[in-house]
Amino acid sequence: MADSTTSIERLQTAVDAAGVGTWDLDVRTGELVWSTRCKEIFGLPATADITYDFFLECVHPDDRAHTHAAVQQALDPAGSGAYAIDYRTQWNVTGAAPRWAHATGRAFFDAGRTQPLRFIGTITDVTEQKSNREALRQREADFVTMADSIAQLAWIAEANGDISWYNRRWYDYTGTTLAQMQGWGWQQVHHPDYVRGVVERLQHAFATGEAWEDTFPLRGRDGLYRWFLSRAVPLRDAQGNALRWFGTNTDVTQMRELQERLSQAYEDLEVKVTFRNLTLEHEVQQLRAQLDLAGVGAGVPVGPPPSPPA
Amino acid sequence: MSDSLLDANLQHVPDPYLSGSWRVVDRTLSRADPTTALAQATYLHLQEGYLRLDTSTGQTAGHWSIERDALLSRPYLLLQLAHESVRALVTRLRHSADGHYRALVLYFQSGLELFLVQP
Repeated sequence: MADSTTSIERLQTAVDAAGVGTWDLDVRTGELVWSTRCKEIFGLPATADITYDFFLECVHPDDRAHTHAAVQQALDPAGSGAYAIDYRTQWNVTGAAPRWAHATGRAFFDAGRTQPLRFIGTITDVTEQKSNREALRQREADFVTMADSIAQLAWIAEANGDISWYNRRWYDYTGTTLAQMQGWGWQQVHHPDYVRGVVERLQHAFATGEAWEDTFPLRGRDGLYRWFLSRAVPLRDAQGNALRWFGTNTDVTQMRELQERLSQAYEDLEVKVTFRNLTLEHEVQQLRAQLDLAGVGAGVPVGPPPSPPA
Repeated sequence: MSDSLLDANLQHVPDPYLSGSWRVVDRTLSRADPTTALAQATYLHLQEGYLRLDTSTGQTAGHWSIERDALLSRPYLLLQLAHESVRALVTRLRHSADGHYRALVLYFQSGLELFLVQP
């Protein structure tokens, strides 16, 4: 018996050290026993007497109804007897936000499974985990908002090149869905004359982990192609291996058209000058031909004249 | 890659491709005389060897031919009107993908530039 008591004490110590509170409800008598850690999580002194009604009062008013319903469900002999729920505690502490608790438990029934006898479980303070999860969710929401608001099309690929995410602008421009574009489905919106080269160069980047840059046309939802300058850089682990890739496609159609127009304007200017001076140009040509025939300019040494003899 | 006009290769464009009734949609005078029929042209009709120039106040007839010069990478038109003979460089000739729409840019030695389309 002494050994058994010691084992239970050791177990309780281990559970306390893990920050987990324990509770035990005798359903028949209504007696509820909470560990000290349990009371700490609820902001109660170790000497506090706990009843089920008092427990419910300590739960945030907005969480009481579903907490009570979860308990009733666990105690229902027709159910599984399992209990797992999150609720807020310490909700009435001035100047402090309520804390989140995660409770789990199991109901035990009589031999005929007609009546619940005991209801035993644990409570863990998960405020920090909730807060971290919320911060993570917020960061993800911020990232998506930012990625959706930039002028570029953007995407994320796994280390093997499978694209798993596109920003809103990608879908708006291409008129496609994630199901169509997932993995290597993006080839559907590439121009048939260019897609092979794009795939080869991109596969090389994924294989070598080198940053990637390329320019190619992508088909819009209107069926017309526009040119995009595309870049992708890898996110690496501590060993330098690419974990995933972040890519963007920037519409450079207008810039290319302007460059082409500028180039054409220079070309036109050159030919216009020749055209306006066409008669003069022909005269110059004739003069050159005459000079060539006369041998002028051929065999004439270049440089200073030789020094006179001494 | 958009539905913009395609440039014709002016080194190899067949002469009849320049025929037809060209509507003037824009012009740049530079230092050209703004009172000439060419500067005021609204239409340029190029039929086989025959030329008619429409302005808002009248018409001028003449002849035209396509000339090529080794010094130029494009052809030019020789327009013979009643009292003058002028040369106009074919700067650009563009067409839609289906060939129905065409745009022509003519540059005259006076500096006048006409932008014409068909239809």
